[in-house]
Amino acid sequence: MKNTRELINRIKNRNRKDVSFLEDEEFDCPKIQYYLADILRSHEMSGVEYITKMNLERSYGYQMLNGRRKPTRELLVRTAILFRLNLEDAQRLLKIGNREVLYPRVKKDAIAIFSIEKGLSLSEYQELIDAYEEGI
Amino acid sequence: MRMKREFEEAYEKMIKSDEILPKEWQDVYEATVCLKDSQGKRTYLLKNKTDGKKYVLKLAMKEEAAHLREEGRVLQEFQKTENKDDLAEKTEIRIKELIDCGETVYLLRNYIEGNSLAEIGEMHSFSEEEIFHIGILLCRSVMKLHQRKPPVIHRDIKPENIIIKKDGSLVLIDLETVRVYKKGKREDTYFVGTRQTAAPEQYGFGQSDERTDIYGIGRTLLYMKTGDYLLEDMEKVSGNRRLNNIIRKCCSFDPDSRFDSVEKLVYELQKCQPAVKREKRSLKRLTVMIVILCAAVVVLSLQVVSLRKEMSVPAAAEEEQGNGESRLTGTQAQTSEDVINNKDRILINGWDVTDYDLLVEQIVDSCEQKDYQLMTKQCSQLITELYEDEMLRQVETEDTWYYAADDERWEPYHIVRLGYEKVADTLAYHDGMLEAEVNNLEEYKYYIASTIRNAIETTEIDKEGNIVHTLLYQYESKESVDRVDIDHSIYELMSAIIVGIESYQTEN
Repeated sequence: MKNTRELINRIKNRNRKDVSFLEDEEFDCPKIQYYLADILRSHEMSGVEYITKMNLERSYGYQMLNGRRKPTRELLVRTAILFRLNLEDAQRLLKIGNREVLYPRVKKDAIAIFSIEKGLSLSEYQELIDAYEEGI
Repeated sequence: MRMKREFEEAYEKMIKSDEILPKEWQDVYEATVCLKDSQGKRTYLLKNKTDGKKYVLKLAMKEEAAHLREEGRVLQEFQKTENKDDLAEKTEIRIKELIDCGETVYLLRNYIEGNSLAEIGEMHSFSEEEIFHIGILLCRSVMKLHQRKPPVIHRDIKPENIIIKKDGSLVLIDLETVRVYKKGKREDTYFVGTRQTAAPEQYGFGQSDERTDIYGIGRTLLYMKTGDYLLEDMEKVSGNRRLNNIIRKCCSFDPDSRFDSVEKLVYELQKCQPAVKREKRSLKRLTVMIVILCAAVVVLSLQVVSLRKEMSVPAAAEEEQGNGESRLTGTQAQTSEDVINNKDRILINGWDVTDYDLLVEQIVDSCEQKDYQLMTKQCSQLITELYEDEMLRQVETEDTWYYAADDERWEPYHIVRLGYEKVADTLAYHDGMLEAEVNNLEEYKYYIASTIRNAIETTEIDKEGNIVHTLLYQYESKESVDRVDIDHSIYELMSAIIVGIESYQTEN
C-alpha cells in the first residue's frame, strides 16, 4: 500500500483533465473487514476465537468479519483493546471503519484511551465501564 | 476499583483545567464530564455544587454560536407559548439559562437521564419489533414539532439526538438546527445537519420542510436495522421487506417521493408492524410439512455424523487407499482438509456447524428415547438457529439451489424459514396430538424413517466426487450438480425436502 504522500504526488503529476486514475485500486480506502482479517492473521487468531473473545453473537460476528455489517465504534474500540493496539493504531482502525476517532476530552472516549494506554485487558476495560453503570 | 480512581483523578484534572464556565456560574456549578467535543462546540455535564442536581451545558464559539443562539431562542419561545396544563404538549427540554457573550454562547438546560439511540446501538442489534416501536415513538415526537404553528423542522434527526429514557420513552434533543418553516423561501441559506443523516435539500437542493425530517427518520430506521447508513446494506440483512420499502421511501433523494407527512409514515409503520397471528393453513398440509421437516433434520443429523466420521479419517489414510476405490477424489479430500479446522470447531467453508452437531445428536437421542415432544422442540430450535445463521445463507447462493414450488422460485433459506414457521405454528397442535393419539406415533415414526431411507438411497456420489441426487434431475438441468464445495449436510436437508414432497405427491 502506498502512503499518503505518494498518492498526493500521483495526483499532482497527472494531467488535470484525466481523473480516471482515482478509480485505481491503490486509491481505495482499505475495507474494514480486510483490515480486521489482517489483524486476526497477524495475531494468529481464528474468526471463531475472535467472536468468542469479543463475546459477540455468532451470526453478528460473522457478518462483521465478512463485511456484511459494519462494526460499530464500540466494537472497534474493543477490538483495539483485545489486540492491545497502541493509540495510534486504534485511531487508525476507527478511521478505516469510518467511525469517529476517540476524543480525549469526552469521558467515554477517555476511558477507552486510558485502557488502551495502560494496556488493560478486555475484561478490565469492561470492569471499568461497568463501574459507571449508573451513567457517566 | 483502583483503576477507576486512577482514571477519575486524571480525568477530573483535565476537565478542571479546561476552565469553561463563565464567571457568574463558577461558584454555583462545576463541570464534571464532557459529553461531546467537536469543532467550535462542546457539551458538558454540570453539577450544582449545593444540591448536586445535574445540568447540561452547551457552549458554542465563533461560527457555531449563531446556531446555539437560535436553539435557545426557539426553546424559550416554546416554553413561553406552551399551555402549562397540557402535559402532552410540554417539551421535555427545559432551558434554564442562556448567556450570550457575543463570541461564545452558553446554554444551560435540564439533564435528561437515559442513553442515546446511538449509544444503545453500539453494543446491541435492534430487533424488528424494537425498530417498529422506536420508529413509531420517534414519529410521534417529530409530529409534535410539525404540528406547531408555524411548523418547526428539526433538521438533524439522527440516533445521537434521540434519547431513550429509562422508562422507555423517547426524547428528541439538540434543537440547534431547528428551523421555522417559511413559506415561499426557495432554499436553505446555510448547511446544517450531519453529513450521514442530512437530506439532499440541506445541501442546497431546495428548502427543508417536514419531509427533511422524514429523511432523518428513515436514516435512523436504517441505522437501527443495519448499524450503518448504507441503503445497499439493507438488502444483505434479512427481515421484513415492507420495512425495507418504508426506509427506502423515506430516504428518497427527491422529497416528493418520500412520505408527504409524518402522519402517513406512522400509519404505514403501524400497518406493517409484524402481525401477531397468522392464519392457520390446512392441517393436513401442515402435518405433512412438519413430518418432512423433521425427517430432513434427522437426515441432516445423519449426514453431519457421517461427515464427522469422514473427517476423523486422516487425509493420509485416504491417499493410501488411493485410486478409484476411495469415494473421495482429490478435490473432495481438499475440502475435508478445509473442514478440519480449529481443533474442536467444525468449519465447512467457514461455516461453523459444531453447535448444530451437538443439537442434532440430542435430536437423535430423543428420537431413540421416543420422546417426540422433546424432539419436536429440538427440531424447531435447530431450524430457528439455521434460519438465523447468516453464514448458512452465504454458503448457498448458487442457482442450483432454486427449485420451483407453487410457481415461485425459492431459495433454501426460504424453505428453512418456512419450516420454522410451520414448526412454530403446529407445535401446539402437535403437542396435543402426540398425547392424544399414541397410535399415530408409530405412523409418524415410520414416515420419518422411510423418508430418510428414500433420501439416502437416492443420493449418490459420482466418479468425479460430486454428489448426485437422482431426484434432483427432475427439477434441475440434466447436469450433475457440483456440490463438493458446498456444505453436504445442507444439501441433504434440501434433498430430503424434495424427496418428502415427491413422496407426498405420489401418495396423493
